Amino acid sequence: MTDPIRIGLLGAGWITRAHGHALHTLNHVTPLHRPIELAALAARTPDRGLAMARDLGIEKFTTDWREVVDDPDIDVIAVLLGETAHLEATQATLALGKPVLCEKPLGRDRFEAAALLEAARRAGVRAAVGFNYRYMPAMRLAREIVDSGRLGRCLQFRAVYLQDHAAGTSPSRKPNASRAITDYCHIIDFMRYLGNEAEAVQATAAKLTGADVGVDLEDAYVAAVELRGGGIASLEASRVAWGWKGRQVVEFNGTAGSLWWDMEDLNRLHVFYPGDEADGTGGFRDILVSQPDHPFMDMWWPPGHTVGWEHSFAHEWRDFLTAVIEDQPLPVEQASFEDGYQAALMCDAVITAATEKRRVTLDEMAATVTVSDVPA
Amino acid sequence: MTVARQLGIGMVGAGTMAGAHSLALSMLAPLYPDLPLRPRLVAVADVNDRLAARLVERYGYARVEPDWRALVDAQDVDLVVTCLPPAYNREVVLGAAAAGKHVVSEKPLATDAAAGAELLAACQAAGVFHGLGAAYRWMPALRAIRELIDRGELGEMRSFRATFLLDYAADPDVPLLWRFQKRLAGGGIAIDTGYHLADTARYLVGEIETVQGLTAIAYPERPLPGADAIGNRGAGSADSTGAVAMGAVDVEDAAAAIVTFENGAYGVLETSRVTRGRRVAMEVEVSGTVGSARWDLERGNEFQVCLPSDEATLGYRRVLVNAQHPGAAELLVGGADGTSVGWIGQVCAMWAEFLTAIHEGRGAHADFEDGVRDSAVIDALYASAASGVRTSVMIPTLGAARAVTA
Repeated sequence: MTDPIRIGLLGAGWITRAHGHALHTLNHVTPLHRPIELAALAARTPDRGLAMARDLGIEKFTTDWREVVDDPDIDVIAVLLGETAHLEATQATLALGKPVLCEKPLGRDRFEAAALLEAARRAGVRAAVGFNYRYMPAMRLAREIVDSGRLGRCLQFRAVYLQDHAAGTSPSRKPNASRAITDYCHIIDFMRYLGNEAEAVQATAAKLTGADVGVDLEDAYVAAVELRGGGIASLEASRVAWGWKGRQVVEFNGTAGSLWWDMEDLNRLHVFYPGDEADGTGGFRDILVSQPDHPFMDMWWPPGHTVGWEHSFAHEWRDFLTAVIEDQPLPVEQASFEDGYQAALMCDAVITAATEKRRVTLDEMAATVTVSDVPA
Repeated sequence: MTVARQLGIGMVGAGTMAGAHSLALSMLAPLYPDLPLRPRLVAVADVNDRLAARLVERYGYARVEPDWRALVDAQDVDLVVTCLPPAYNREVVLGAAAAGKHVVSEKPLATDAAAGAELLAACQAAGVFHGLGAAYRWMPALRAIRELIDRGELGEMRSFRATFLLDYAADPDVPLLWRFQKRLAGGGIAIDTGYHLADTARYLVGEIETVQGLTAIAYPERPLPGADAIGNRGAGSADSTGAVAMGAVDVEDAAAAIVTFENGAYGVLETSRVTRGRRVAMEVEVSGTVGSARWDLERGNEFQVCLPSDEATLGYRRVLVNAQHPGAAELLVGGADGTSVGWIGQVCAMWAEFLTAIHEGRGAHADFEDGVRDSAVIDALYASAASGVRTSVMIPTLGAARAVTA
């Protein structure tokens, strides 16, 4: 019998349930060359951690994540802790030469992300960031269409991520409280995923609810972005937009066509080709991404049967663990620590632009960071 | 500059649709400045003088006539529009034709196909123009779908599905208007909005051969209406709180049918006035051997079409109506892509076509023969619902069409 690949999960928040579900699913749906074993779980809070371990069928539980990282039986670590703990746990994992999948954002800021990028390069092992939306079938199809050149060069990119979970009671300003810019860094990753790099950014951010409204630990932000290559982009995120639950809309307007996607209708991709207009039938094509030839769909159901949000995690883990097991590089579509670092540079640029009320270049952000040139 | 000839319009019936036609006629000159024949609003007749007076005042008709006979006989009335319960249509249309007046009838043309055939024959014998108010045929989005079908872009027709769902009668307090009485309406929702489905099915796919239907009554009794009640909900009816006399509903609130077409396609039709949440929801979809198209009245200014494509990006396209679509340019008063044609636009387009046809001495794109054929489909639906048996559509013998005297 083939030796299983043993995963250690750090953290017991809701995202751990998503990853655990995906890892279980893979064994049933598309077995890898080594069976996946959820071997150990670490969480600071015993009650919550034990319950999560029980739910996911994990036998080993500890309140000390170092025990899991150091355990010689554990092959791969999933860092699913709060972002304040990403640096230490991920560095410790890489120092032991173990592959790691770290949830987004890679670090609290560009300095932490740079340190982790450097650690990953030194370790020379597979290291990925949990930008799971790259693994939604519709968004992968979007990437394929953009890469094919059918939409031409990007003129405009825009993305919004709107939710209302904090509209009633916004989190108060605590040292560890999350901020919208980094929390919603998925839209920054989407911008890059569809081939766009930022040159410079201007932004406004604000804490909009609760007694302590102000500029730090923002509930919402808007950013205007100059893209390398001449295009422009807009980014907006909010956790106080009543009525929106998961409105993550991504749109790409190229010289030869457009596409858009909405997470609230996530199996569909909308694509416009101007050539369709010649005979009066031009319009966004409403593509139900469910055909066997569509990305990832061959591992699921017959055509027309849709997948959910959670499937992105299964796709992400399949690529990551396949690379680990087969000793192959990560697929270029998967978010590497380089991608995590680039997202952190962009987050810091947005924060700096909003705080200092000025145009900030990405080069300026990068100039204050050192990443040693270690071969990957 | 040549002054366009004028055609005197006489309106019989002063309810909701009379208002819609009056508004559309008022808008024609600015929308269609080159129209060779222009409407002049002359007279209104209704058994309810107050409703007639209101229509005259609102749309600038010259006068109220005391009854339909006076209106039909008036020298300055050239075309008679009937917006009446179907049972009252007969004598007015026959009277207008006998007086040599052109006629436009709201749908349904008559209480059944045989009654409709009598009206068609009378108009043909008199050589007058006869137009049917099947206005959805003039929705630019539906016309665009028809064009795709005519060009063969969807291939051979395979199937048609359509619903026309409303909820105005979901409230049991909506009074017993003429629409709830067989004596006046000839039927219930099938002969009302089901008529549009039959007409649209024929417009897009072809003639219907057989019908398997069913009908259902949701509320067998309703309060009696007040004197001025008009519209679907009886606006203007007396307040119905307190003790109210009730009357029996003898026609269906919902109907459904499976139909077959002469060309081998089949269709599924459903209409109801008691579907909560559906306001005026007409949805149509046609599927051919290589493509499909669909349309939704609640988003009336767009249609969707699925045409052959590479598999990865195959999908329905949402097409916004623009100036390149048939009949749309005149109605897009914003003059730009991205503006919209509203519900009244189709009525304007219908009238523009009717007036042009009269000027050119030809028949209408939707005429009384269409009314007879639409009625025959509904007749078959009722017969099938009563017998439980699939029923052939029986078209009464129709006379040969004759040229219309302009």
